[in-house]
Amino acid sequence: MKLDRRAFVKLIAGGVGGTLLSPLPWKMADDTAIWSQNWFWRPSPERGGATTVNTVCQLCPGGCGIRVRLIEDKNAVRIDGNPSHPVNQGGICPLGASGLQYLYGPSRIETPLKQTGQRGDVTTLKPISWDEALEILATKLRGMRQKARGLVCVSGKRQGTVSELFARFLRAYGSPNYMLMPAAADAESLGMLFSQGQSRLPGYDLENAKMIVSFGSSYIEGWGTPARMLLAFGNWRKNAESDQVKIVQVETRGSLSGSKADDWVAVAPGTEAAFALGLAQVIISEGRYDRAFVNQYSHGFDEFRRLLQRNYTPEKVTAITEVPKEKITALAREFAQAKPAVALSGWGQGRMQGSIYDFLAVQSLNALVGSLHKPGGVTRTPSVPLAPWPEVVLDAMSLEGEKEPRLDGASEFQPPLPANLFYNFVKNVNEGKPYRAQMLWVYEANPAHDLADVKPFIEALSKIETVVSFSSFMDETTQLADLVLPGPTYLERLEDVATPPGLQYAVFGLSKPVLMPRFAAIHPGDILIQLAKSLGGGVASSFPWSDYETALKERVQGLAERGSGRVADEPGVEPWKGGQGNTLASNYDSFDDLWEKLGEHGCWFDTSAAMPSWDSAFKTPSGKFEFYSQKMRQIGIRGNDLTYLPHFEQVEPAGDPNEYPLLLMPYETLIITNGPLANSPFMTKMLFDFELKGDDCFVEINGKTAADLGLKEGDRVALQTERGSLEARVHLTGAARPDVVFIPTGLGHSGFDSYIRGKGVNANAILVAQQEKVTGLATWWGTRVKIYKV
Amino acid sequence: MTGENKQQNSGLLGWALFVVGFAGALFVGWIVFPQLLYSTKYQPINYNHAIHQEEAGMSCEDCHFFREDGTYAGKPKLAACAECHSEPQGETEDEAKLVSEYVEPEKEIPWISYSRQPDNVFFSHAAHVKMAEMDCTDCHRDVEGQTKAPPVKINRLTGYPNEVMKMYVCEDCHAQENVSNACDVCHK
Repeated sequence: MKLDRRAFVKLIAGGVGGTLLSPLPWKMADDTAIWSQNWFWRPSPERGGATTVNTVCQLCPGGCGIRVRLIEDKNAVRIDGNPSHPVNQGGICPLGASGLQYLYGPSRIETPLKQTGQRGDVTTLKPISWDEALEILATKLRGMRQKARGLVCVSGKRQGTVSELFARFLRAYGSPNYMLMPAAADAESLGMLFSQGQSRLPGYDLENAKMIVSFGSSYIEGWGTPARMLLAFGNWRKNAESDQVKIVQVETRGSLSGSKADDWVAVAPGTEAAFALGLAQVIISEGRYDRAFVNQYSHGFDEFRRLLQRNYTPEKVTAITEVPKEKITALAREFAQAKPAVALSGWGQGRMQGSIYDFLAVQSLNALVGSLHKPGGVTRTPSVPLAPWPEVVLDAMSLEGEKEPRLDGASEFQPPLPANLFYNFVKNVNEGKPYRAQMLWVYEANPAHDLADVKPFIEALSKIETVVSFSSFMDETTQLADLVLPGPTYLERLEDVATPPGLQYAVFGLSKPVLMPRFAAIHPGDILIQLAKSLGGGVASSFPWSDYETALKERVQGLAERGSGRVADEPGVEPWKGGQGNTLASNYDSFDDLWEKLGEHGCWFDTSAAMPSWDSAFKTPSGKFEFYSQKMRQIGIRGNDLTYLPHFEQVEPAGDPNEYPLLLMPYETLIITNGPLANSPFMTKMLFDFELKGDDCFVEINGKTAADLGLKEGDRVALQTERGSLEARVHLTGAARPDVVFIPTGLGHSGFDSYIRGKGVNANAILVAQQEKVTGLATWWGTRVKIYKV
Repeated sequence: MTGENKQQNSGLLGWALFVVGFAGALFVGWIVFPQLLYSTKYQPINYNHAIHQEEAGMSCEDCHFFREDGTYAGKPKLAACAECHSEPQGETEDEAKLVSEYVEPEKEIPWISYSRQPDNVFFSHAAHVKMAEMDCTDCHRDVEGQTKAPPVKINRLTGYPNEVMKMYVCEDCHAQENVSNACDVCHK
């Protein structure tokens, strides 16, 4: 008997037949498929019971109430809006909804880092212990105490107790150089000072207005508080068609805000203020202004009227803005008739400081129709009655520091404006005057990406000896830091959230840790307290608290003592209804009760601060609203009549028109975040493929311009300005006016992580910021550019 | 032996080998393979359902309940056990282990699930038990009177226990009950 080939084949055939009739191959095929779905790197979230915790969002100044869904009290899986919060009423924006991508994203910094090699080289940023990090900082600060003025801090958070602690630290230490990232609020507070005598921020009673005219404000794309504006927009559109709130968008680009308005007025680039003055001229010349207000409560009306008559008649405004004069006249009549009507200012999302005169022109319009401090008009954001901290203890060295000029001051601008001139700081550092900036602290800001016209800032950084970042993320500025002290993210830390910009009633939010910090981060407030204690002297005495929580509680005591307002604990509150001056029944009876309820619900609000009466609202030298600003004179600003009156003075875009024939204008959208954070992967996915395709972003140009340049949809172009060049693709659209190129800001990150970086280009790198002559405030609405196919 | 015979013999042998191969493969496929494919794991504590029902008078819902938000809690947490077993109630070895190894050091018991659905399946107990009024035993083994926790057979390749329901079982039932079988009903 011999096993021949045939027999062997039969054995195999039998084996194959038997195998096919057994579950083996089928089960293996199925299981292999399942196995391939379960490789070890696939995340598998832990299961368990869910809880929902209320807190307050801090990803933008809007301070919306949010609810975080947690599994087993430790893993956050979802963020949505808190329906009880008066500002967002359960609404949420794409940034807020994608907050978990920041919490769990790979760009989180896990430990303090120290630059051990060349600055900017991320690979030589080495982890160190917290003790070592704080010791390095304390040693440096001790060493430079004699030249305390060399310490500079820039905060991207304009309000709140942590920012105040930074400001306090600098003052106690002896440096006058606490600065804020630029924003429209800089022009607003100055404008309010010049026209109404107080540096307060405007609060718009938009929910009660009948007509809204927005001068370049992206009212549903991130201006003010995004969630509140979207809600207000929804309410404006709820009424029957005959009774709808009329929205007019005055803006060069056909933006989303323009397309959702009843009327889009496409003014020539940068001429919104001239258009506002044109409306004012018609309202005055036709006698449609609010006589009760103008006659008794305004100052300098005649001078204003004469200026308008001379320079801003419909014909002249048509020449500037390219809007037909019939349109100007018709819109002016409508604005004067629709009571109450309100005009909004602040370009885009309100990140650009802009011109003081642009703000004054728009406010004059509000004043003319009697919309100041009236329901449906514009008042000032009420202050929250927090208890003050004890006075800063000034020792010999901090008293010395008090006398030093600020690094953002400059002789060419008029003295001494309470303005925040970050661009001057950059310029002064680069020119090495008036003295050296030795150490820069960066808190909640990412100027190395987010500052329009970023290149001079990067240059300035190289002249500063030590850069300290308090960021939780590896952003572009942190990459350039020498020492990184990562804070916990907003979902892991305690912090107050001040009344959001543009709101007409007072809100105080309490953001609290909803889960254990993922890494051993230390709260910036606690870092400052520890640092102060280790420095001793007046600095230590100025920080008497054991920790940040104690310091915060001390301020909240003030709220409890006042006993006004309510903790927002039930949905459906509409604080704008019934007007301001409405006293709410308070729902807490002691500090402990208030603190506990704030922790539980996230927010306190109050409508009891009535809008001021016209008799008491104006703290100007004349005691009236000043069309012609005596306040500016009082402050010591010199000039001619024009200096004190709202007027239109266009800042000429940088660049030789012969070399750079087109105009480059940046724009902002709700789907691309600006500010300290980079766009979340979730938001980037929401962009259309004519905004971002692969890693290429698009600039918008008109079909006519494209034809002149021989460009087709999707062509790759280089954009070149005085500052440098970038590459992008072109999107042909009627939303762009001929001869203007529109570029989105907020893209093109080089920091953060691989899910975020490299998407599009950073427009800030080629924009040129310019400063207004009188105030030094910066504007970057337009830069001359040439584009060519690559 | 003639050449013809030789050929016949070798043909017979061939067919015999065919049968051997066939039978061998069937044996491997049906008997050996399942033995190899599954590992056997034992629960950390040999839980006695019967004793809890009969002697302690507990109901199923005391441990397997729906949370307030409608989600299903599945297996109980240690805290539930500790309510009664802060000290041993009886004299079994398993109970002593429960108290000394888990309750006292406050360490959750690492129960092995018999039928947990994969992560890519959105399965709601509420929809099946509360809305469709199905019995637990329509899908799970009947634990009534069980004095021992059966070992868990875990597929070495996929990592899932053998009791985990396959997709076709879901689909068949959905089809029978006229419930949508659209992908996004279960795969969100």
